[in-house]
Amino acid sequence: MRSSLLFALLVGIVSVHASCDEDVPEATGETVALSLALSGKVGRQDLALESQTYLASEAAEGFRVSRVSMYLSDIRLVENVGGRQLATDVAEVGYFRLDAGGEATMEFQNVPVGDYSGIRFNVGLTAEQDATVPAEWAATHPLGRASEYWNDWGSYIFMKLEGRADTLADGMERYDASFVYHVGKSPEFAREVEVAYALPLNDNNQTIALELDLATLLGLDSAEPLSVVSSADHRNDAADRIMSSVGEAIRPAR
Amino acid sequence: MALRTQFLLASLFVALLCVLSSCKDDASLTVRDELTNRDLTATEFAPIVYRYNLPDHFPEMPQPEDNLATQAGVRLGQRLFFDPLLSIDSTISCATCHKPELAFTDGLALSEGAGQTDRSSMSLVNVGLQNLFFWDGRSGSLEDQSLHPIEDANEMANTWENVEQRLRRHNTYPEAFRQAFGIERSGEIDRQLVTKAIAQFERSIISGGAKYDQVVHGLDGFFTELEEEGLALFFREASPEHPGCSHCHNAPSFADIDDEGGFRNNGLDAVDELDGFSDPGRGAVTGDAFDNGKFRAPTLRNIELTAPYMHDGRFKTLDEVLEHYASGGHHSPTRDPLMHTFPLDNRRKEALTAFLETLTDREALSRSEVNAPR
Repeated sequence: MRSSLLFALLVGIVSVHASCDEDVPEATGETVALSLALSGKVGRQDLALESQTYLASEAAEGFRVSRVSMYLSDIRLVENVGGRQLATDVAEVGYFRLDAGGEATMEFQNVPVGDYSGIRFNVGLTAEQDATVPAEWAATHPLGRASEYWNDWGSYIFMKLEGRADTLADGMERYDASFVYHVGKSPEFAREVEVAYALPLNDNNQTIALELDLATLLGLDSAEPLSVVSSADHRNDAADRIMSSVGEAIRPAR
Repeated sequence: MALRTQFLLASLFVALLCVLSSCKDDASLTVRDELTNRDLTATEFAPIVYRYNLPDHFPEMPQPEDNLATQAGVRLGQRLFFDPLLSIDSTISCATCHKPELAFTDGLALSEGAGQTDRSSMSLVNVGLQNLFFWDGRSGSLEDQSLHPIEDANEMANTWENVEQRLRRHNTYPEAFRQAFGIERSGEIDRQLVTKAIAQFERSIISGGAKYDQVVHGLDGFFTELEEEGLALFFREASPEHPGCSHCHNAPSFADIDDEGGFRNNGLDAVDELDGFSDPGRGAVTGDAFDNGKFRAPTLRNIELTAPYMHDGRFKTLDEVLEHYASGGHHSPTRDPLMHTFPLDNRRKEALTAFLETLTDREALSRSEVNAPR
């Protein structure tokens, strides 16, 4: 009997200690909805899918973007309290696909109110999530999307960038070439991103507005930009470059 | 006095006419009630849940909250699906253009009902897993989709009022609606109940036991060397060497069924201007010219049985389809970025065809539950 009590006490102490290490803020109980609004950019230009032409050295008459989609996972809000950084879970996984206007919004419910200083997430999925297959999830769940799963890799497609380029300087809109960058497989192609963003989350303030710059993802201003006129294999140097630049490409909307 | 008598007689006559007239109305109402608004409560309403029999490697069947399947509902839908009563001259049923033995297509380039339509019949295999319907996705649910063919002049050319009247007056349909939906009078039969029943049945058209499923998921049997080659070609990433077929035809549906509908321009037409497409497809629904020339990526399950191919049935054989994709398709302002050239010799053609034929599931198509009721 006494040993049972001692064991229970020990377990209690271990539990308290473990919870202190998790940097979880004390819950006040009050929660609100949170919107994560994303808007696409190509450098300083707003992104509009299909209809807008952008410049790249390979494309004589420019390129257009057809699709931008992405998985985010382990989405958390962070706040600095007394020199410590505390993280609040928002969602385990989210998926967005930019619409024709180059925008998307992800909605999260029951997020604790607080004075947050930033948002942290993985671009891509955790290894555990990536080890599942769409049939394990409801069709309405972000991981239930069979079109975002690539059997050959045994992985979800974390990011899709697709578009077309016009390499013919003939004044006609022929768009004779295209680019397709699909990136996937955890953990090697998932990246943690943290964006500093002052957010007093409360009833009146429930939106984080970020922008995603394709010029940065494609390295268009670099000495060796990624091609906009050819398809690429999906888990190669190009994929690595894209994921290495994603932290720089996602930033607070201006 | 004479005038007064005449007035009284006239009043009496008018009153008599009114009485006679109302008697006649009552009589006709009673007869009409008997015909179209029968009391059905003598028939038992005891719904039993119908469970869609999907393989483990399939997602759950989505169902609208207000139309959860029952055994009586699915059977009623089956009966309606195969019944030409729905068409204006009682000669055309849903199955006229969606024949089970052809994986619920009709073998024609352009479907023919009361007239010739401008598109090819789409397979209904695993249709319940989709989010948008028709080649251009103009319908957002199976229940809504089945509203349209009844009144399309080239399909059933009927009116819903006519269909509702026929079903209300029918000798046995009202009892079947009672068993499926619990209505108390035949006059409650309407288009919403008809389409709900048809949708319940269509969700039961499931194909997931083809050789592909048995080998890959059932661990039963083996692919031939040729089929293995085809599978590798089909599922490999898109590259200058590989077609990347499964980008638009991903397993297990072998269609593109994400909630945006998976509409793509696969390069069928050489068009220089956005408004140059003879059939704008998705663009006609969204009003966005950059959707012109885009259509659904349909399921490839049972493709061996669903020729001719594409929304307008332009390709008669799988060889023609493969050659089209290997060519990268024609340039146009909305051609999909995934369209690209790749090498296709006879061996690759045979391999891809052999793999595609492993998606044929004759057993699923011959089940009595998805064929004409006897």
